[in-house]
Amino acid sequence: MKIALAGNPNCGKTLLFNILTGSNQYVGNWPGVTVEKKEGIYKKDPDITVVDLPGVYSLSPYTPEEIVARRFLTEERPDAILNVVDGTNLERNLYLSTQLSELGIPTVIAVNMMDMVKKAGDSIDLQYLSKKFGCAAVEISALKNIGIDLAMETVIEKAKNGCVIPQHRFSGEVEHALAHIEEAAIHSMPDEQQRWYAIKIFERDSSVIEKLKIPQDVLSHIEFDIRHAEEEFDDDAESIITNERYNYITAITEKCFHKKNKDGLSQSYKIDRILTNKYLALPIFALIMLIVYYLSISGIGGFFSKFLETGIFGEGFSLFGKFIPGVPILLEKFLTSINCALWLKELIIDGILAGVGGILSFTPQMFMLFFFLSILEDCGYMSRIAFLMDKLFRHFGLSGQSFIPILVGTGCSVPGIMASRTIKNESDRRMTIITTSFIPCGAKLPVIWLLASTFFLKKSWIVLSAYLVGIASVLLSGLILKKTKLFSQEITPFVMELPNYHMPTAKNVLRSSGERTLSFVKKAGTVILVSSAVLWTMQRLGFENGSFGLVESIDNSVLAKLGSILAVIFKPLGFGRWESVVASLTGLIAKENIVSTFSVILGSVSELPRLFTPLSACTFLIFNLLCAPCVAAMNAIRKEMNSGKWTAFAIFYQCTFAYCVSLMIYQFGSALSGDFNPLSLTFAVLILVFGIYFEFFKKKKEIIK
Amino acid sequence: MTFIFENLGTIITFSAVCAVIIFALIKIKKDRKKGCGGVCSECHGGCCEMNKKENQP
Repeated sequence: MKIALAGNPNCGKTLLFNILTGSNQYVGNWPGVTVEKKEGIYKKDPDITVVDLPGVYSLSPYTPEEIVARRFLTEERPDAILNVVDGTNLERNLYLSTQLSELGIPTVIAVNMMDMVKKAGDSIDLQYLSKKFGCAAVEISALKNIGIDLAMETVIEKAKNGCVIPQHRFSGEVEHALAHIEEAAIHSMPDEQQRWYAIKIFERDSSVIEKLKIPQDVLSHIEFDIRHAEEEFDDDAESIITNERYNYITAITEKCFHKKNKDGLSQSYKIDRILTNKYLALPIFALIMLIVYYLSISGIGGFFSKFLETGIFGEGFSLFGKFIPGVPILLEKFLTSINCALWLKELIIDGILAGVGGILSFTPQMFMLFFFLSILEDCGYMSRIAFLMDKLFRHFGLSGQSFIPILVGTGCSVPGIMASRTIKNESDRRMTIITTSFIPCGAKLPVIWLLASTFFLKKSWIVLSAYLVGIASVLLSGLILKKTKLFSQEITPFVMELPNYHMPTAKNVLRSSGERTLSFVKKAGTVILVSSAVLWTMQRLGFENGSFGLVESIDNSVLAKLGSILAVIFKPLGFGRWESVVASLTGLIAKENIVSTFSVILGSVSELPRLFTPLSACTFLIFNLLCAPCVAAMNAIRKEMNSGKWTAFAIFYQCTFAYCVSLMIYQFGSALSGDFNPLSLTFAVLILVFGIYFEFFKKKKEIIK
Repeated sequence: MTFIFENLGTIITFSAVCAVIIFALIKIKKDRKKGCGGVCSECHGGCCEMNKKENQP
């Protein structure tokens, strides 16, 4: 048996899906999280498959999500539909319900978020709703796990009873035309399916007409009826149906939805008056993020990370007055006791353990950050940020739609890039794919923290600045790219539904932050482990005294030689040492690799001041934040662009942009301190002049045109 | 034989290191097959579903 979960975006389908199937699909408190249907087995009955459909407002074939949902419902026809409806937005959500009820598939309306409806003192007459839609209606709260079993029992029972004939009726003229269509074109179809197709034919839905292969003479006959209805209503067929639906819904909600305080403002609205205030919104956002980063990095997260770094993966720690040696010390003792060869001991301790331990030390900070971000996401604040950013983004040629992928990208660039799929405008979508990885993902955080804590006193500020650099780069790229022919299309308007604020649940927050942290730890045990072993081997092998083998001087190693070839390119950026070049290259495998590479090459990350000054550390950080992302993200770019040329352009743009920004920062910074290279400085000035010309003078030309 | 006994510690440790690396490589390959390279903490398989050819934009 197949049961589909259908409903508007952000009405809680995925959360319900997770509860029903026990799976861990990503739940975000903003629309468009699910862009593809997902299947899972119902926990309480393995014979039942639950399908989570993308959130849609209607079953029109316009957006990719609508196409996916519509195709599944009309072609695969599940045994029953559990129509999840947001009780706090009943009227708008019921629009889709009218369409679902026309499919002839047994449907149960699950009015979600009933806890919030009741909290606001409102009530919904489910019996009336059920009667009018001709299907059962139950109240649930997916967040609080209330009423879900009853909803499933009801939908299973309905599925067993088989198909249903759609009940609701439009006004006379429309019904007259629909009856004619049913008789002329689709009378051979099963009864329960006729109404859906009749309405679609009335709306002149080309895909349905094409699919049914209706003969031309029948079409002409139908067209006569449709035109007659259009003349009667003085409107086009599609609008007639839309109006009819809304009239029907309004009549229902007026009787079944009882609002306690009709003129009063909702709790969310009151909060939004402050949090999304024209002047206060951005300062409040900056303050919240600063507190989040302070608590994650310097606060609780910082304390435990220090303990892991110096205690577990360092010399050791004291517990109740007793000194307990760290893992490297214990491991060395053990390896010595079993007479392990020196080179192997070094490979394990200075290579693998240093690399993996260097990354794992950041786990508490990562967990704390993900924990706080999950709270902000779950309570509904993060979706307000997308709304706030729309205004800012618009000034720079981007739309607020681009902010959702960027928001998702703070966890990992791969789903961030994928989330760009919800953007309908092709030019905006491509631009978002190119710029999403500018925002530091979870993997870049250890790199930021490492350099911030080694070279700067105000660590939390540096981490926050890294995000600001990311956003500034996205905006600047918007300005640059919009000036080119490739991206000069109009910006599409951004419409987004803001969820109501609610208390985040411990289960959701812990699951979300736990999953993300676990993925980070998993990567340390796979990609980082292998990379560390390979790096250590490459830095110990090389040509010395005319023969190939273990080298005394690390500068003679294969790794040093390879890094030195490329080092010259990065010299104008202030980090022309082979060690930093190798770190940047290994960062392309996975960005955390930069930290483990330093741990392996330098022996300890505390040796970093040997490679960088604070200024060059800053440019190294910026370059690695903005240049091409890791292989997995590049792969995601290729898949989303669906073109080798566009992928090459994206990676070329990211690397060039990163190089130019880092070059300017290093050269202007050096010039201010009086220590500069005239040639490199000239080059940096030329880039700046070209940038200003490109931005301002080209614009003037267009205006003249 | 003497060589093996003298270097038993090294041989066992080296075998263990190789086993761990091979296991990590298999895991990486398996994750790569999933579509997102296994690095994606957000999607829990969603990316893999999206990566399917029929779902490409």
